[in-house]
Amino acid sequence: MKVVGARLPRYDGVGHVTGRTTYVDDVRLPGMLHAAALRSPHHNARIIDVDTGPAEAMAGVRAVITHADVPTLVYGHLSGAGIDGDEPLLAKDFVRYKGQPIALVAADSVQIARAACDAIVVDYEELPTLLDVRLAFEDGAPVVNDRFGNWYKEFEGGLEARQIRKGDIDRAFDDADLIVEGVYRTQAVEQAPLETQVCVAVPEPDGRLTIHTCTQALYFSLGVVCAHLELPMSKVKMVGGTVGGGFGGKVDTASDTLAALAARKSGLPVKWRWTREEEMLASSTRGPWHMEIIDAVTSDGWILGRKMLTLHDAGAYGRFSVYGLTKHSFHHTGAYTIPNLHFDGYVVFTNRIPTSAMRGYGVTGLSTAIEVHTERVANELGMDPYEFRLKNANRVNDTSPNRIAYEDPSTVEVLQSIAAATGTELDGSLRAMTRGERTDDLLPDHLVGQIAQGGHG
Amino acid sequence: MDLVVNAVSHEVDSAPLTSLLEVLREELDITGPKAGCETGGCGACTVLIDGEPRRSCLTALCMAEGREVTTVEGLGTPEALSAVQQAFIHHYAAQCGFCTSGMIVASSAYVDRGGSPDTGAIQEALGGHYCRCTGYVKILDAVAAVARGDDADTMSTAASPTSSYVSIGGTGNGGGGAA
Amino acid sequence: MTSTNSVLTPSTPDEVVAALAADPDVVVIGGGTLVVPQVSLGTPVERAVWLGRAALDSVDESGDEIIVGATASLAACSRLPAPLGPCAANVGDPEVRSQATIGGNICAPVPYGDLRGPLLALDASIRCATADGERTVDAATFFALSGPRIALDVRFASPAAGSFVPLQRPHTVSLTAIGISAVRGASGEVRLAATGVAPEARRLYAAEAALAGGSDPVAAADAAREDIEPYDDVLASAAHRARVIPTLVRRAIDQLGG
Repeated sequence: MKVVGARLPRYDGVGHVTGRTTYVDDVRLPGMLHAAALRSPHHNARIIDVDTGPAEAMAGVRAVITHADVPTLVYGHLSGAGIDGDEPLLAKDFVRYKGQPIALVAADSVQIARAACDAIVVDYEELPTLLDVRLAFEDGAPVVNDRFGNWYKEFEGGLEARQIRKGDIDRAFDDADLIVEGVYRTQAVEQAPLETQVCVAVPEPDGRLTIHTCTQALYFSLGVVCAHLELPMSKVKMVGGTVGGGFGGKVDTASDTLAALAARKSGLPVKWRWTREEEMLASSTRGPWHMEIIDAVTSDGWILGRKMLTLHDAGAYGRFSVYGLTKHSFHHTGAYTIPNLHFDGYVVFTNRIPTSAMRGYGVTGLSTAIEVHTERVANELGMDPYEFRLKNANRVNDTSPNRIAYEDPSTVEVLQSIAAATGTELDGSLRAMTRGERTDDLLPDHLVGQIAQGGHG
Repeated sequence: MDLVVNAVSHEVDSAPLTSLLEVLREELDITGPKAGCETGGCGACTVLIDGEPRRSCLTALCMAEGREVTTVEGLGTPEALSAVQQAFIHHYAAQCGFCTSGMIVASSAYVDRGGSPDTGAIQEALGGHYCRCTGYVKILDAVAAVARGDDADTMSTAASPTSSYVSIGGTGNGGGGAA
Repeated sequence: MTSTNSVLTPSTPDEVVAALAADPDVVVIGGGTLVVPQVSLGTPVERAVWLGRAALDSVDESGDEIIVGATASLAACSRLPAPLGPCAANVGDPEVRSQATIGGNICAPVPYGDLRGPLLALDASIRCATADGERTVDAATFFALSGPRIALDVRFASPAAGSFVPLQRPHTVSLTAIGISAVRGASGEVRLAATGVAPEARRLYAAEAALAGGSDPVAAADAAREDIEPYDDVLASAAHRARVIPTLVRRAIDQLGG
């Protein structure tokens, strides 16, 4: 074998170590303009009036873009999956989060563009703010999302929540020796790539657009740009692939579309690089999650059933949150097999920055909650947490919450490795465990039905 | 105003309080130093001034006048890599690459002043440099290799890495060995 | 390109004094670590005076007093005795410390200005330029000056013992929420000062009095509750400050030894 196990040099290594790699901010073109955004200073407000006149009158300002310049103002990141759009590319009647863009200015220098943004006059009527998912369901709560209300209500079958029902949850709780409840909340995290969002949009003489982009999802972004601009994909060329870090924060790069609009209006190349402050305050973050877990367990350490309620704080708009919550629901038993499940998950809107992917979309905070909860259950049972985890660990042909048979689960080996790395002595029977299909003592009656038939093991 | 960068003298027009980073990137098109935060917090814009690592985003043009500025481009070329650059490639210490310019510059200054291969000392020297890909272990490996004097020629062909990753579960079946 | 600006570069301390007298509104730049990013991010600076060539960067430990020039770097200051040395070493990272200056630090607004704590504990005096010319004042007076001022140098008696205990920073990019400085003077008296215990740096007089009255470090640290006005900011909540300050004060006293 020439490749497996061999040390192959990175194709981009020499460029990186010599400073020769061309990132988007390193692209420079004759006549290139620089852009800056006017962003909402309020979490929630009605826009009564926007006067861009003072900005347009400034020397060196070449284009001012507002909602009126966007051919298709609202487009959903998941429109292709049948989920309606809810987010205007530039705010029109309302701003629903602090940092939401209202206008983009392209000018001869970034200093002029920023000064022009300061010169735009916006008349706001501030509105009550909703920043806690738990308050979204109360009567009289401020309404955040103009398309969906305070939570997404259009899951398949007309459901208001992503539901998972597996096995017989009532019987599991009837049969339980112990019921353990826990509430877990994780916070938003900014992906903070070292390269802030940046793009260069170039109007070509033949009417096409070239966009140098830092997107993590080039063909996805191409679709988004073309949808907003109402252009066929043959008219837009995206140049990407060299990304100074993304970690999920550069999937929803609205910067490409906005700079493209400014380039078309001015007829000149436009670069827009966000400041670090903008990246921290206005780019999508990992979402906060509110998770309530109730487990039904037996005194000998089996988890018979789990009831779970998740409130995913999507921020002000949906973006990918329905996808993220769905992934979350599929993982809500974590590394453990639980045959009886009752899961309800809501995508809730608040006046926070819209959220998006980050390294394990929908799952990382969940894993924290599950592992803390698992430790608590073991402690309440008075059982060694390793034994409790290994007993319930996913095995070949166990089935996930969405009934996928695990072909190659590594929970057992991961737990054994953690024990070894931390100097924890495991009993011989625990050390001897493998990922192989359940038999004998590890296949009690209540788990027989959940083993996949004709599995892949 | 005169500015010497990578041993070449330039006549520059920027105002005296313009950051050196902006002068290098926007006036001279020397784009190795990166604008990661422009407030001194990330390290991606680090250059050498008279051989000492400095944040070019914190340094005004007037402060660099009359001194020798060296960027990552001045430390080696694709055809003639420095030992530090060679080690970063060998140890896979560059991932997205955006922090790499600053890391290479600071690491070069560290080994040039005789810095030790000790992990703690390297961590202290590079403490102002973020790698958001979180590839710190490999960066520490690369700098330590140069500080130890590992043979750069050997590095390019060596069969196995000298990684300081702790192998977990080495005796069990979860250590990740390619069986 | 940044808008035009002009920078005066005095070559002697006297020229610094004259520059401020001639133009009290001039922006003062030491190492540049605070002003240059402001310029980059859009705050226009029309006229500045940069002290980097004003022969103010010496550190003189040869006499009875240690004299530190205002443009001595924090890297240079970090080699001085506690509490000043370890406090300076706790700012930023090695590269930022090589550029930032003591004068810039003590003139920067909260939450910058960690070195104000050690200088209060050291009972330092500060030679400075004001709109009215050159004068020398004690550190507390200097920090309270409201008009234009430029530190020229800082001087203090070498302490018999000193210590500096910060609330640990999570990363070099982080500012220090709380710093406790302790000094034992030549005649055995203990002076305590802190940043982050109140909106401005201050001496911990109640704790000092308790120590002078024979209290043990735990009781003295407890007495420091009278000295503090815990406040909320982005670095720490008032509740967190109130909870940890006595512990940090006790550690600083303990580290004085003797």
